[in-house]
Amino acid sequence: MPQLTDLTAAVAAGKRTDTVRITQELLAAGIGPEAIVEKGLVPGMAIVGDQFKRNEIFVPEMLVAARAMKEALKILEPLLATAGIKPKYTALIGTVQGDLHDIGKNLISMMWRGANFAVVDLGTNVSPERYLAAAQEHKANIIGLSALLTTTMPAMKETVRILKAAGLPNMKIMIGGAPITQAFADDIGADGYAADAGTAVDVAKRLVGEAA
Amino acid sequence: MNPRNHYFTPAAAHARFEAWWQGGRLDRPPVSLWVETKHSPRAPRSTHATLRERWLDVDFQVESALAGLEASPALGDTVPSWTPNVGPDLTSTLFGAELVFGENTSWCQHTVPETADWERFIATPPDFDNLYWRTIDAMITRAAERFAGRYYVAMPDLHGSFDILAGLRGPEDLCLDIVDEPELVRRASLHATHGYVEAYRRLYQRLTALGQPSTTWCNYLHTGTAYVPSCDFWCLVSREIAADLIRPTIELEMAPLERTIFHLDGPQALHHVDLMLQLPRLNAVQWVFGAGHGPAARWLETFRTIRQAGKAIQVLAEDADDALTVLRELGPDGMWISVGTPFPNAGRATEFLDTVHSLST
Repeated sequence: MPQLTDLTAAVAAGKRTDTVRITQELLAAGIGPEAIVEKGLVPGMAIVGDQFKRNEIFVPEMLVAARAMKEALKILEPLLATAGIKPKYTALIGTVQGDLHDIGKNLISMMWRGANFAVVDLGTNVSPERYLAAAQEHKANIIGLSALLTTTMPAMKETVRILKAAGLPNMKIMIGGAPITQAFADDIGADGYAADAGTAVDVAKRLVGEAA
Repeated sequence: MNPRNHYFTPAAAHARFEAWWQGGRLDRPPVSLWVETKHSPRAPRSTHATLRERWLDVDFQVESALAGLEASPALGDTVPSWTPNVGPDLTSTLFGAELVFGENTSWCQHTVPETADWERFIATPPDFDNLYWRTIDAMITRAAERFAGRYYVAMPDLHGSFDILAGLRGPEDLCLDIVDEPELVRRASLHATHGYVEAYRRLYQRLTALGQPSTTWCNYLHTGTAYVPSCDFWCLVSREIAADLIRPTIELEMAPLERTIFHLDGPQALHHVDLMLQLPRLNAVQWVFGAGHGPAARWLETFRTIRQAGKAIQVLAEDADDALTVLRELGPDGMWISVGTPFPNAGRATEFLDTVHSLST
């Protein structure tokens, strides 16, 4: 019988056929879906995030790992739903108004899913009002704002202002993107800044009060 | 060279750039700079119903460019030119891409939905009669007429093979295709490269026939073939993938060129510096550290690495002080200085040119 560590290794290597097979075998052996996610898939994506931060792997390798995890989740999510098990935290993510770039946002979305956050992807060109409405609807713990263009950094500032003014409880705002820095995050009052998709998991966990 | 003449003259600028392409200098490095200008009353006002109409309105674009050029003194070695432009994905439109226009840039709609569709792409020759290419061609004709030899018409922005593929497929799906079907991607990339090379050849002939020298958005000057090879997509991939798949396309794109300056864009591209410096036809590097990662003086080690490999550099200084810091640290040989922040007036700009001259002798 395969072990959870085998699943972790299969996800980290991006082997989707093996990931699906091992997931099915673990279920057949009586391992619960929550344990498979928490002790098999999440550690696999954590390895991927760490390797990405150290420039040991790059975007294609991260994408194949996320694809493998997604295949496993297709099997596990109906079982989790039946058992009434939900991720502990919800994160919203989007690219700010005026900006149509999405690869950075998508990578962070994958890594947050890989860390077992429920993720609501608002897409690109997201207005402050849409962020706010979605934050209220989903009771988001984390809101991620992405921007690639310097010309859309003012939209990021305005979005942070509107979200902060709404005073939603237990909501933290993270920002990132090529022209974004910690200094800019501090300047506009964001709660966190992540330089890359691997770091984004650490920062999100810290902001919700879980050790990274 | 007459150091007391601070205005652009073709002969002096050509000579300074030629020395720079070779990694040296004449009296001083070439300097590109701009002076703050008021909105020209001659600039046409847009009455277009959509951004798309505005971008594709040839007369509006050319008259706007002309008003801007007439309002700007051409100081130092700043090539007085305009680049006909529909955004960065012109080369993707040769393969069926449609553009979506924003205020300052345009985007490419993905037209290769599945991995298997690369076969269809490979079987399709580039279309040099598409709307965007015809618009660029009309812009070149109109600009050459209206500029009447006072200003240059520059080579449009052409993105290379893997940026074409990323525009057509989307960067994430292209990454997955590279893992799943590397040989298919290789064939597709070579097909895109041939389109790029042909696009350059046609535009170069067109501009040369109109008496234009080689220049483009990055404002160098040369009398023969010259361009800015680049690959934004390679930020996403490992050195191994870049060496195996991307490098051959860049080498093919550089092969017809007498002079090349590689556009190295962003800190995420730095892991490919060694690979870039091995490109056999490379003369120079434009290092774009990007907003939030400056000033240029922060990147002295990167500049030194490039210079030690025998390549010239374009320093994109944030302002005059930043430029002078880099000049003092690295010396004038093989350096082209571009100052991003406009000078408040021509007097301050000429003072800067004098300082660069004195630090170079």
